[in-house]
Amino acid sequence: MNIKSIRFRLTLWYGALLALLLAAFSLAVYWGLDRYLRSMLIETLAAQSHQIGDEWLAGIATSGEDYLIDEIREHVSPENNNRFLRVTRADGSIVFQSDQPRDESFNPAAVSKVSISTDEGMRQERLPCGKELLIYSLPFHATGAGDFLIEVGASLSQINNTLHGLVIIFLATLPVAIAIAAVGGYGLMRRALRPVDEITRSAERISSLNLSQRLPVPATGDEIERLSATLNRMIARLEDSFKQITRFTADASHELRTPLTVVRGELEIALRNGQVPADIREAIESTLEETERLSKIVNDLMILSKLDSGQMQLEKSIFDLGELAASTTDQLTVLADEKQVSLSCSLRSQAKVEADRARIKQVLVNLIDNAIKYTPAGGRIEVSVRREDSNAIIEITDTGIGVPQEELPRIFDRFYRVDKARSRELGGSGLGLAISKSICEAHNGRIWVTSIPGSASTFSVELPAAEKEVS
Amino acid sequence: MRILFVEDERKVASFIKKGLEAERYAVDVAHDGISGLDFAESYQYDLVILDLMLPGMSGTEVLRSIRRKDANVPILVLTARDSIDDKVKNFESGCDDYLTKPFAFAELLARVKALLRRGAVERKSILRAADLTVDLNKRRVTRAGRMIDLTVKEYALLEYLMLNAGQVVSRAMIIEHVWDHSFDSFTNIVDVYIRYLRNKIDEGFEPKLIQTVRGVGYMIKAGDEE
Repeated sequence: MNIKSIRFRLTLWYGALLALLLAAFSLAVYWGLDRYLRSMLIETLAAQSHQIGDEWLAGIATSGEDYLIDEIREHVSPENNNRFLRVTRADGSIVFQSDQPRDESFNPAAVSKVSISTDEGMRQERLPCGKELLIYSLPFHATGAGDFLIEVGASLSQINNTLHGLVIIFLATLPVAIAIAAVGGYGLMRRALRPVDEITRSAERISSLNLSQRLPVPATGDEIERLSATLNRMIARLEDSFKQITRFTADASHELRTPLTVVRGELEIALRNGQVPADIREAIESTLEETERLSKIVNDLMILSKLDSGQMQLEKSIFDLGELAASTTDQLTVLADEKQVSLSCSLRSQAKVEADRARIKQVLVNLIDNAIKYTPAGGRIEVSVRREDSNAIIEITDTGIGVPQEELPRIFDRFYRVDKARSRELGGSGLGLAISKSICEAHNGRIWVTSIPGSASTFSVELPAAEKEVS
Repeated sequence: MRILFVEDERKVASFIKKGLEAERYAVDVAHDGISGLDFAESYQYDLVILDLMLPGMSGTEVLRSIRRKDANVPILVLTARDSIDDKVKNFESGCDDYLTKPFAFAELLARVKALLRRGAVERKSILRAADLTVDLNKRRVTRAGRMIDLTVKEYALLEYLMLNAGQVVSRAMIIEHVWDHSFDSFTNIVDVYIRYLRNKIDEGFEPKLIQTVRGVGYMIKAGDEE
């Protein structure tokens, strides 16, 4: 999974947002339930306090304290209901105090004494055992018997138990819900982004050789359709300018042919006349050399424009690339010997290709000739051929001057020269590598270079193999 | 020898006429297809040089018409097109040789001579230039009576130079005949082999036979003419 993909990032954001929302919601429910349960309890406690006061304590002067105690035992029954209940006289002595509650959740004896003059209201008390009680206090004046304090309390543990249960439910269900939402979201995102993947794949297939192709435009009226249509318009503009360049190259080289023929012919014929003075002869010869060079450049441009426009007819046949490399290396050995450079060819496996033999040979001659030109005396050039998956690969490695890193991407450009003065001195049209590249591409192959500046370069040519590898 | 040259580019026509006349050929020039065909029908020519890009009537049509009337006259086609398709089409229409612009005059001349020679003279089996002999059948080379050992390529190069003795041959022509088109780049392989050849057949002998014609190519002096 690509953690940088839009799909992944959107899912992450979406999941995080959902988690945050659910957490906030859980907190709100927790807090609200706590408040609600407390207020319910307080209401009950207050109601009971008033019942005790109004119904039984008010007439204590006539009915007596035992009546009060009996009524409380009978109607309120604090031990059975897990309640704390205490009725205190004005002097602090106790009329009634409930016993241990049935669930033994607290010890009534540990509850602190409070002054009789306390205001009516609620207090929360933590007992030494750690339990917390909510206690409602109600000062009460019984006619003829003086002031009393009624206290009714209950343990908070019940509310706490309920809230605890709620927390467990949240903890158990929220992560599952978020996970399901994330997986679902990822899937949906995938579905929504599938057209983008398709556009990407189609766009990958479009190169300078098939600019007439277009991307599929889904008729959905959405952003994807707009994107597709926009890209298509961009490709159309690219195609236009490519065509213009190709047409210009073709026209220019075509138009140059006749004048060049005239210049060259007139000079040659002038030279045939024996009475040309030496200095003029020298000038004509020098001009002729340059015209020849110009003719070659024009021819190379013509070849390039044909390769570019797909007009070049490739005469394909099946042959072994290794055998071609070996014979070409053989033929060029004289040039290497001249420069005292060693040139060798190693074949690691058979590599049959279906290609235009003459054109591929042209590429090899070009690359090996370059290697010889740019490798100083005593250097080494090695040509190797091998099969790799469904491709045949030729590598030409030299111990030459190398190519500076920043020049590598441009070395296959037309008329691009790394070392301007030097390469012009060595001759060449400046189009050799561009032609090699175009030939490779016309064969659905690739050409690339790796280099250690100052010490070595490797030019690699990869062509699709003619048949499946025999294992 | 009378040559008809059909070419609409007047400057091209003029220098080729001049060059061919200097070689003692009689040259008629026609500037369009229709007058070219008129010339061809009115006179007997030994050779026709035909540009394919012509106003009025296309070169290919002129080619077919001439061929219908005269099955034997050699026809050399000049063109700016060089696709394989074009070549095949024109050979099928009956042209004998083919030259793509821009070309060297030396190359045109060599081709003209080859076409005129064809069939006319029986091939000599031993070529001579000064005291150098090349035996085409035995592939043996001697200079001043001494046997000279040559590699296959050196021999092929020498043979080609000797077959065109007295004429300049360009590097492109040498490459086309001795190597193949893939070498038609900027390699200096021809110059290297010329030097090897010089070391073997000129080193220590007089006169020096292999001459460099700067800007054009190489030439072996024709022994017979001296």
